[in-house]
Amino acid sequence: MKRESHGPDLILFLVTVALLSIGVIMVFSSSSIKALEELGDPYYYLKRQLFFAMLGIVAMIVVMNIDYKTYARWTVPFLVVSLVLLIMVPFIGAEISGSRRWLNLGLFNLQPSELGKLAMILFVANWVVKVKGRIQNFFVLLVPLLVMGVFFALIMMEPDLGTAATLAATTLIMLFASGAKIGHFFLLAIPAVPAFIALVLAEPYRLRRLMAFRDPWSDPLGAGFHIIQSLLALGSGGLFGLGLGRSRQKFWYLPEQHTDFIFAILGEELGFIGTFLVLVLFLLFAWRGLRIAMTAPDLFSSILSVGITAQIVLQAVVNIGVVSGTLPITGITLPLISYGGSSLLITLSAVGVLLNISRQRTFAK
Amino acid sequence: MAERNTLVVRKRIAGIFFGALGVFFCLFCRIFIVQVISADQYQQKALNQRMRPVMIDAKRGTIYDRNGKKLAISVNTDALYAVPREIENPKELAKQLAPIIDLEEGEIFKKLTRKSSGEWLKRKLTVEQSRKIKELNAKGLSLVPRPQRFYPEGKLAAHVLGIAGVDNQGLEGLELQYDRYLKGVQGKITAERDATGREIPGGIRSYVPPEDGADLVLTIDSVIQHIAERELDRAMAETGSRQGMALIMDPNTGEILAMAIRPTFDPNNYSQYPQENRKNILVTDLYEPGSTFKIFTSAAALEEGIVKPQTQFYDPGHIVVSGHRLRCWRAGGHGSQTFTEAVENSCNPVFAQLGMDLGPERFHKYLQAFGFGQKTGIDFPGEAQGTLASPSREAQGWLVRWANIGFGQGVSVTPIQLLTAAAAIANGGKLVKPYLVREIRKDKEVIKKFQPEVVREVLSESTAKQLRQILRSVVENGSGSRADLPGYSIGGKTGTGQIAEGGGYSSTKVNASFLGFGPSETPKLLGLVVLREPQTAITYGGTLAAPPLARILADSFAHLGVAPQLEKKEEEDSLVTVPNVRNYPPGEAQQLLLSQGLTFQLEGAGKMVTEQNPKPGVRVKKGTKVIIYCGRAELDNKGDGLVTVPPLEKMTVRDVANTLSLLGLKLEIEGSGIAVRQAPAAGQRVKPGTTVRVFFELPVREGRES
Repeated sequence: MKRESHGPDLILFLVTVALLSIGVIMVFSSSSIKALEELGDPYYYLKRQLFFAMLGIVAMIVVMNIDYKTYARWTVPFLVVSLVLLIMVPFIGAEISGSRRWLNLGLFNLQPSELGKLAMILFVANWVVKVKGRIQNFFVLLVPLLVMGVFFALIMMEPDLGTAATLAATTLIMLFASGAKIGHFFLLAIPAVPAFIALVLAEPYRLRRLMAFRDPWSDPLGAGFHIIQSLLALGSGGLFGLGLGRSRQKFWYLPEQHTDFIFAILGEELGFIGTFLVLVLFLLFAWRGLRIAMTAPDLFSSILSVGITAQIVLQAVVNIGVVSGTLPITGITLPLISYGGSSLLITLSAVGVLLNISRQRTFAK
Repeated sequence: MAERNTLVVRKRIAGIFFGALGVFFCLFCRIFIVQVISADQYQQKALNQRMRPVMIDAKRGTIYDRNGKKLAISVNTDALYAVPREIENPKELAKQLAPIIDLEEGEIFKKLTRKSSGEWLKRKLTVEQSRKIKELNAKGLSLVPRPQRFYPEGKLAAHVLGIAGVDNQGLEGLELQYDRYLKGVQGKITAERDATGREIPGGIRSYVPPEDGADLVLTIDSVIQHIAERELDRAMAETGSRQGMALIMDPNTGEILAMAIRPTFDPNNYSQYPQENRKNILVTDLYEPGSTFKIFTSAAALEEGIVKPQTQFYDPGHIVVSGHRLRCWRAGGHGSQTFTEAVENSCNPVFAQLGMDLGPERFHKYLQAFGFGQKTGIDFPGEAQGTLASPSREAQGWLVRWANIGFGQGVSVTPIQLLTAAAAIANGGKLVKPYLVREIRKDKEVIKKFQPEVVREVLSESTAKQLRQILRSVVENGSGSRADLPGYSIGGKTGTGQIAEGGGYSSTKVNASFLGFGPSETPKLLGLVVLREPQTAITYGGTLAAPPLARILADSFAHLGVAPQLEKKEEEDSLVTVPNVRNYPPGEAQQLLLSQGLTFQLEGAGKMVTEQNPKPGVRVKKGTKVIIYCGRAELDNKGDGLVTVPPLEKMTVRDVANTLSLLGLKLEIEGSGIAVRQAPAAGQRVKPGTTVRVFFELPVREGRES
């Protein structure tokens, strides 16, 4: 088959830049009060986010020009480095609000789970190519699932349910795309059910806390607090929003206003129009990402594209689900929009990989 | 490695995309519900959580007397507020504060270290205290101006005004009765606040100003109130009574002009007084009226034509009712007498006879018409109703009961009830409703005006007049003679009611009372003085309660500009009785002398008048100079270091003790009652510290009283 070189997927590029821009603006708007109060500089988070956004775009463009095939060779070393870093986290990680997720690298904090997600995606894509048709064998399918289990367990130890769950879901979506038997997935679900029940029985508070999102007003100052404040922000925005910079909930009512709950502030300031736009942009992202996967030159790049797209879009869906009170609370950021340096760098690099694959597509649109 | 992805893979990817579409659709719907459909509800909740109002106290209304004198005002005083978590050194601060705010150091420390957002340490600080606290410059302390009730006249009319609490809420008295008007409406500042309570810059702000309370204008005349309290104080000192009360009313309108009770309290520091001192017993407490009640037996009998003033009676000293012997208070009885004389004599058998002649039905009808057994409806909280026996002829001993009621036993009344009933006689037959508030004003505008209210007609004009003449005669010729004032025609009735105790009557505890009015032709003032459990040898109402009421009425007439009615003989008119000013502060003594038309010469610089010349009770020409001596040092200023023994005859134990202690002399008491002899004799000069033996004797029981 003939392989041509094209320009990268322009829509994906523009969607990414649009989300990034909205993010920078919203990081400033949501964090300025906090930054002024706590650090004496209202621009503190804006400056850092802007710096990492620039750096991220540079990284994206660089990666866009690196042939994706190069990565296949780095699969195993990358996997090992990620695992080692993840194992190190509980010992030397920086503790932030009850969880150890970060390694302090001086300039910025690195979240090894972010690297882990990419390593896992790369591993699955590479493994799918290696096993080819044998993926339909249940025991062959267990291999990537076991690796995933290790990552899942390590990330859960931090604890970081949101990241662990998206990592698992991403893996399953990739295996599904690769042609694994659908029946096998159901087979896998069978041991999951008693495991889940056992977890709940062991610590009943987990379920209560998990389900607080169903009726946050039953515990407005405890488990329901974040959800309530988030809903109040979204609802206050109404159709058109209070106007950029005019959020009231950011005045200490809504915690994590520039990270996990930035979407709520966005909804308060820009209204349903704003949240609708962001949803549409992520849907476009899903469409272009999966389209790249469809037209990818080979199975490796195709599954890799599915993985990267799934990872970013899933994380967005979970975050928006949490903020809108649809899903239980899991501390997870909104990709490309929430404040966070290492996360931005990694996400933009991953988009760079997608763009590189799009340049090598095999048939025209 | 370069193979194309298979059809299966592409189908699966397409499937994933449709799955994503489904998930996004759900999110769209959810967000649409939150942001558009339920937006109002969330907006309201968010607003409520940000808009936290701060209440502003309204200024409590002022209470004025009928002439515009302020009796209760609201002033902003600083209150000391502490925020415990901001205080750096609570131990040291407590030590510094203790002497300033006059609280225990330990108590302050406890409050300063309490786990709370704030503590009130002390309210109503003086300017001086505020200044000292400011000088401490301590972190975590703040002075908050708060409107506080202040009673500028102190104890004056304390029982009428009642008290208001620290949060400006009426607790007792008129403060409670009219709290609705006085308290006003709190204002509030509403501002958008962040989660930590600070105002959000550029946020919504609203200010609802507080609405100040309305002002009360009382029927009380503070001058008459003052006179009543002064005379009551004096009567209390002279008789050693457990309690005393004076009530003055305008009988034509029902307006209460004075309400005085002893012992009393200062509403500015009410917590420092026993709680029972605060009770307005003129309205809330029942007592047995005794002979004063004979007024109403007389009224019913006169109106029914059973008696006329000239009707002849014979009192053998007792009356037999259903086999019971009811004795007259005077052994041997009053013999032959007219009805007028029977009232003057307060002759019990006559009134027992009238009670029976009237019969339960008729008698009860009149008493009910006079308002007995019912509340008067005075605008004061906690009024008692009193008891009035039912007119039934069924109950055992009904005849004895109604014979007893005829002379004032077996009924219980409140003083206000008794006086209100008497007003009907003073004003020509109308039962009026007593009241304490004339007007309610808001921003100087009258918003409510209380008019005199006639409840019903009780007596004919002519009967009322007849009865007034009889009661005038009681003062002129009878048991109330000590209320006779030169120039003014006072009418009234004495009463000595035994205090019911444990089912029977106490033999020693009595209520001495006098109910009087004047001028007797067209009464302007009606009053009642009740002294409870006087400690003097003679406990007759005519002896103890008549003089203070007479003095109250006389001074009040002078204040109101009521001219003397009686055209006494020229020489008599120019004579006045020298009042007793001993043991009075010189200022008050001077006033008293001037009010009697006398002049004075002050000797000495002591705090009390220790002696006077001429002596009390002497009739002298108007304008006579009375020399008043103040204090010990001056009396002794003859260089020999000796003091003169004063004359002590006819003084009570209490007065003797006071007089001697002022001179530095010791007292040895012999006997009890009124001083009759002393050793050394008056006028002798002795060393300070010398013991004076004084012989007291119980006076022979004389007088004419029930």
